[in-house]
Amino acid sequence: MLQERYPKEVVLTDGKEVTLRPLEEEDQDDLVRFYQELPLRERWFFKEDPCDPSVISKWVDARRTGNALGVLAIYKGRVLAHASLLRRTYGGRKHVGRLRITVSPRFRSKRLGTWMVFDLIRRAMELGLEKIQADFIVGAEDLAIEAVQRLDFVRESLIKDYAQDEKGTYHDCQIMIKHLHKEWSDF
Amino acid sequence: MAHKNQKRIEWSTRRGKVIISSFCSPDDIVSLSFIEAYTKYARYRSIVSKKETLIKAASQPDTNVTLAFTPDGKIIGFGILGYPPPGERWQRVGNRIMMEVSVIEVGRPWRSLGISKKILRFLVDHPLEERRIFYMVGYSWTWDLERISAMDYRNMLISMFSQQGFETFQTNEPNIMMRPENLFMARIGANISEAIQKQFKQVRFDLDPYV
Repeated sequence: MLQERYPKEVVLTDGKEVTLRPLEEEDQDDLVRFYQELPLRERWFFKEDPCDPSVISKWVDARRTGNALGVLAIYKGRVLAHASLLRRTYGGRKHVGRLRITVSPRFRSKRLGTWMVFDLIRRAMELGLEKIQADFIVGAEDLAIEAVQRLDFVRESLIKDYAQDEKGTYHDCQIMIKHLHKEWSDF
Repeated sequence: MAHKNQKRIEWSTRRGKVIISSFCSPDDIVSLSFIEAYTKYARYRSIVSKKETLIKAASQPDTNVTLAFTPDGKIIGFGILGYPPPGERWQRVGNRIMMEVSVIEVGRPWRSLGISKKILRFLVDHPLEERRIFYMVGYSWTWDLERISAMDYRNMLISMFSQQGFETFQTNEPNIMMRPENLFMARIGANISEAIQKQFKQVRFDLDPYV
């Protein structure tokens, strides 16, 4: 049983009060708008175009099938961050969750991303997952790499020249893993 | 003489008769002893394993020490609701505003009988309940996790405290942030002013002027 209660109120380091709550069907238009307002370089490395309403619709559907848990951060009625925990319900990787997070540039370095990742770590533990994987593009998402390291994600491996930016320059992909321990050791 | 707010029940469980009494005085505690379970298990030791700790707590102002014990005077469970020690972050909310459920525990042989729920109910049945913010912090490294996962333990705590009007609150308190399963819950009394509630929020996120 998921005991996490939403909405959750968090106060950012600048004193702004932000609400975290699950992604719902009626959020589709707001979420498309959120991604449309991001500069191209912020959404370039997504696997699908988040400005396409059909892509967002698919993400919302994934929530219904249990393949994704989405959390939104809302401030004054507007979406300012979106985080997801993606999981497989079948096969050899169903113990691994994948984390994806996008925070509006105006709300970075205010600990919002930390709250959202922390929230999804808790959800992952409730679901019995054993690891969380997060992939970041080196040179474009360095702040996120630093932030998740503080939440005990470790650099698991690096894929050289994995992605191209919008100008054609190659970037490495850093795979980060967090192990979700079920209990304390007897040390 | 019994405390004027003391409540006491006696009921039969499948393991035998249990008495639960709130606002126990130091003298009440002196006359009782702990069951063996509190010292027996190597892997897990209770936070409170000495009577002196309970006696000291019971002598503090407004503090409610609630005990569960057998008719022959063996303590099988206990809970403490009191003010946090000096220097604690939560004191910044205001003088004698925050009171912590600092411990609630039942010895292993007496678990799954509903004793901890009753202890908690007796703890918060306090004459100041609407003029205080009661809170609890749950650190997984203090939990007895031999038969239950950390997240299940956490969920059990949420369920138990929710029944007494506690809600989960976010905070950046470093010890709570150390592990995702750690937990902070509070019950805000009906007579707590807006200003204090705002201060409580600021302190939760370390944004109050004292910092």
